[in-house]
Amino acid sequence: MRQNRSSRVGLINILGLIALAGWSQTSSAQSPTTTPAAPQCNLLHDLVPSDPTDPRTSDPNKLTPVDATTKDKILTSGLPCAEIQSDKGPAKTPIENRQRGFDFYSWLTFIALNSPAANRKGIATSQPDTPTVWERASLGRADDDSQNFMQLLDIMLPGGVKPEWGKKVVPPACQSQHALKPNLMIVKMIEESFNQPFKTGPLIDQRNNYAIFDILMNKVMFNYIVDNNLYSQAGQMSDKNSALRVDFPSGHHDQSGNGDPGAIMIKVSWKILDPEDDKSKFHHVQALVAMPSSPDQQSDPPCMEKTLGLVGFHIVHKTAGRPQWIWTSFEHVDNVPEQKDVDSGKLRSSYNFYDPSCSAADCPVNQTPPRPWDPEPENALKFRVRADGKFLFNSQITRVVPLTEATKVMNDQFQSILGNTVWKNYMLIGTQWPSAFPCTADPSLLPNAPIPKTDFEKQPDMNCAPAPTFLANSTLETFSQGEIPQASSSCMACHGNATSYQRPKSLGDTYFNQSDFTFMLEKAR
Amino acid sequence: MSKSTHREPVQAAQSAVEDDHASGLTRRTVLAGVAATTAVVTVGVDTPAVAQRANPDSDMETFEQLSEALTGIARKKLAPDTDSIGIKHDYFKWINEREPAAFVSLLKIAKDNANSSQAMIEKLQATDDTKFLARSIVLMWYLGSWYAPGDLKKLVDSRSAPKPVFIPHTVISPKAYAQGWVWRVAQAHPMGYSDMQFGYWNREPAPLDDFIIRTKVRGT
Repeated sequence: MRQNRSSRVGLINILGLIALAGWSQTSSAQSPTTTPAAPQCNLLHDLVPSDPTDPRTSDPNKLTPVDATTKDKILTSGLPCAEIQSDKGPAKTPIENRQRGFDFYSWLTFIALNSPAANRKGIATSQPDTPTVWERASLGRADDDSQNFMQLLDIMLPGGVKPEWGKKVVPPACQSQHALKPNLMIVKMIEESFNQPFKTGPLIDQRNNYAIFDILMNKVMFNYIVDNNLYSQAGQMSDKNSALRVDFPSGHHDQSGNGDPGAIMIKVSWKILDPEDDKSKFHHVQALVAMPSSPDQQSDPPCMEKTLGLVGFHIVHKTAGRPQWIWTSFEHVDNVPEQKDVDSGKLRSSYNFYDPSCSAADCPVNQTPPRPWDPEPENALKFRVRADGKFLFNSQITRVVPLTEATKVMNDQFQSILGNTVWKNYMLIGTQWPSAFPCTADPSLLPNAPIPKTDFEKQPDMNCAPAPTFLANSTLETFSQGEIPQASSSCMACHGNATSYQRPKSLGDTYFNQSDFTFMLEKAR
Repeated sequence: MSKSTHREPVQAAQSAVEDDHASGLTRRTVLAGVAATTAVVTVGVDTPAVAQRANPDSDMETFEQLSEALTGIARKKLAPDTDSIGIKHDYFKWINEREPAAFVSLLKIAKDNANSSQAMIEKLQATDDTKFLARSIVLMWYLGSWYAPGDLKKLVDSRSAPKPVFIPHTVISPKAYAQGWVWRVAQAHPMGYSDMQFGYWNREPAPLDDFIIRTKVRGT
């Protein structure tokens, strides 16, 4: 093993590739008898390593270039298993240096998860409808892989039935279409699929379609839920689980890139693409969308084939150094203008969720639609219209908190290396991470930390000072944008309150029903 | 920003005034930091003849040192190296816009006495300008509200009056409200906002040190 590592270091030196990136799992075509197992984790980060033998180190004076010279390396570097960042660097303050490191990590993660399922090093040549790494299970490829994701509603099944990895549950109304086209994504709508967090309302695009939301988890999370019998309310409430402290596995890596990505969850927002839409501008999938059940649950909701264009993408990743998880958010560049663009009149000709031709008086921004909000079967997935057939309401959304200049610069760099692929149309909104070190890594990073390594009783600050304090995606937290404590969207401040159905074994017993920053367990039936 | 008629901050401010009668400095505990500006010492201070403004780039470190001396709270807690809140910037700007000349004087005293918190506190009380601004800064950190130095002075001047004088004050911002140190010193949280973990009410509070002093990972 030592011999192999020495050989590899020598090769690195010869090639001058100091910041050798990790390899993806499918990267090695060489004989396993002569080559060590390919590392799983991408160790590339925003600073050039100061020690060529340890890619995790950082030279504060050398930013990793993101340009034509590094394009191939970055686009094929694979999934980071954990963040690598430093408070040192060219930025004015330590927090800005760290933020750049987290944003760089977010872009690498976005690229890895959205690389083609069939060729994880091939994002540079992917097409708008090329299935991505994270969509494999949704599209019927149930391979056993930590980078494969399953939809939440295929895991939290009616009756608390034990789920199977990769097994899609097809609603009755979709079955005939599914039989003809078995590889279409299936989106089963519940209230959370169209109504935003805290029931703040649906988002209606400029073609009068509801935006659709979906939640997925990777195999690591799936396994933890199944192994601990957390897929049903009864399981969560069982005596056995009364003492369980929910602790999803953390991503980690060593200096050779060996490790595990740990738990990752995704939340996406889709825009229904009508024939008039330019599909080439969106990553898109063909999907069977099952509308929400009627309130009386007596009728099967209709199922429609739709083209769904990706407009929002949250990635949430638990790592050893960040047990409060790392919260990444991307959006389509055409979603909405920033409010300052509206104020200055610097607007594009069209947006997905904003009409530049409508005055502020006629179309006040960031308003929720008139109730009722539920999609109505007779309107398919369109918001209801007026008696004269005209649209009753289209969301007029602006971004309240602008992107930072540093994030914009990084977006420009990564978009440029994504060339003419559809992925150049996506931008990082921000990365929220826990910044207070006295609690952040306590005690998960200590060498002899006991198992489990999560500091469950995270006091006095559960969230360890999220940075930035607020973060909102204009399609996923549309109506809670802003910077007002307790009212505006903060990933960690919200998810830190998530709980399960766990109960004490006996009245008076101490118990702990925190669900480790995910509301997924609340969806158990 | 909102005007408040809440009694608690007023009482806190009044307690600061009452401590005027204290015979010595009381920066032994964090709560006593509220009163840390109150000892009566007469030391001459040169006040700039021309009103200037403090520079947030060059004077921020001094403001942090001054704030630590006044509040008794570890500087790295008030302004961590990785500061995601950045409330110090809000406070610095707020003072600089309202009391520019006194702020410059106060920072000069802090800079000249950077090696001794006690000397800093003694000297800033030489003039009413710096003395009452220092009190405003203490209250700002603890309560997230602005009590104008002039109003605090009126309170002292009227202490023999039959009725307590109401001290007008302004909650500086929603962020400042949530960051008031008085809540952490009490191992609690402000009404309507908490960073504590769901279910915290069922457990003993974390040690006071965790709120106001500990800046490193436990166990390191």
